[in-house]
Amino acid sequence: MPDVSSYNGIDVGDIASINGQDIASGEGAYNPVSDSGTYTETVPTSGLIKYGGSRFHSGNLSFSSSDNITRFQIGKSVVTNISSDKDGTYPVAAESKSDFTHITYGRYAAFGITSSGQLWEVGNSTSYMEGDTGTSFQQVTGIGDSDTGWTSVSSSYDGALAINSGKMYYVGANGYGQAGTGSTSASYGTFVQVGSATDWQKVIRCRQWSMATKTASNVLYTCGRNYNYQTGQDTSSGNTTSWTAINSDNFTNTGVTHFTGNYDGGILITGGEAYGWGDEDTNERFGLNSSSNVQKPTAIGSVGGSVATDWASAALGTQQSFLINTSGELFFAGENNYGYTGDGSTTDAKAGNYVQVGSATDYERVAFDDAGGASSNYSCIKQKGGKLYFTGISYYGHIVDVSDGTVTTDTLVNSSSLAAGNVWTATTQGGGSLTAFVAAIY
Amino acid sequence: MATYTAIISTEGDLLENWSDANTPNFSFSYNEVELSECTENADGTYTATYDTLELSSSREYTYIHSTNGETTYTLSAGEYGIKPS
Repeated sequence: MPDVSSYNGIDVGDIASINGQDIASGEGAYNPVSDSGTYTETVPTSGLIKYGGSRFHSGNLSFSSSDNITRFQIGKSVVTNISSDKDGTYPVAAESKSDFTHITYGRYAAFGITSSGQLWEVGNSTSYMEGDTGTSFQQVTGIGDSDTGWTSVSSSYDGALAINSGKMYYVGANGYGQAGTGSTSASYGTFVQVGSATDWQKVIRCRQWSMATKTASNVLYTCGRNYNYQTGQDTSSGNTTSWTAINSDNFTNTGVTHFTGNYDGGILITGGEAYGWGDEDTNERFGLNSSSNVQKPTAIGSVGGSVATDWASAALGTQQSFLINTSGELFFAGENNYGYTGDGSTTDAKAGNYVQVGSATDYERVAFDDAGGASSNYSCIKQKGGKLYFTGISYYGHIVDVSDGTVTTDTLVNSSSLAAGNVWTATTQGGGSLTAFVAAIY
Repeated sequence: MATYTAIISTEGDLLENWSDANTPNFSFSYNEVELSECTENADGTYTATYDTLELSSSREYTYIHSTNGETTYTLSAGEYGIKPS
């Protein structure tokens, strides 16, 4: 046994254990200096961000070619020799960030906010994040009033919005005015403050446009490209370059408790009433029995011929939408060609009503693409009873370990329940094919 | 909304934005993002399109001015965003 009282300048006597295993001479199972004995890796089983879906192909939020996450190609095969994914569904992040209360993934950069209000990021392009690229989350510091003042963040195709102490910050592309800074003339390679307001509440960044609520009354504002009426400003002309209160011809723009968007439209909920806007066609995703574009927020959510007023949340796809009511019941409208409803059918709902899916009362959230990046959707994630389920085309993401094909029955993404707080996001990674991706904390 | 056409030469031309002094919270741009979306002309140029903002009656907008904060103005009925020649 060599004298290892000091090794590489480190007092070995200070190292009581590695990974919970006593390494004192002659007492531990493994001697790290002589590399003898048996080392058994102990890995955490909770508080992990687990990734599934998306092939991480070059140009996206990818990891190096030597990274296990790339090599395992996501969920298709049983995963071995990678962190702690015991059931083989997910590759697992290199590190645990169990204290995230919110996570968001854009094409090139992802962000998370911790329970203490810290902002963390990881990505592969400095054009769309604050600091250096890398494969591990790093804290964003020195931006905003306080490093622990972050309350909302949303990353999409090519940019991110965040709120610190009520002030809005933006990084990324601005070709359509999606930063809301009053111009389309610049991209922002570092977080810049947008205006001087101090009462921003929540942000959502979509591919070519953005949404945010402002003031204690939760008034909804939008900015960015108008081409598909996605900003809800009753125009498809040019760009809304400054944050502008969304058109309120059909509703009172206060008390917006929920809002969501995708590539070419959005849905908001206020007082239990749901309003939709954006591109429309024969898919009738807003359940209005019409193929005309919905140019400004318009009441949606008819059930059996009457507009329901107990809506709690929504998910908008490019060809369909879901609404969940305050009783936890799920309703669907539009095209169901990929079996998104999860009840084994591919039956559309295009008769001017939202149609209830099953009879369950424990639906909590549905998402096609929280980042609003895709011009077409291939997958859908539902949170039901604390667990995540997948439906859609397996090929475009391999989120669940099934053969390529259409999954029309709700299929568990992971057998475990989500960790407390239900922190997860579904998104698409863009690129040659809009591959689906889910990240969640278990 | 009225649709207009313009002759462009390169894809970079599609990035052009122009403003209308009456609409401080909007800019105007071409509908197309890529040259492949435009009509190719015999002389090698391309025809792009853009839409104007047309109001049949006046409308009030509230937007966040970069320095003045929340700002409300009324836009009269009319057509806005015609590309300067």
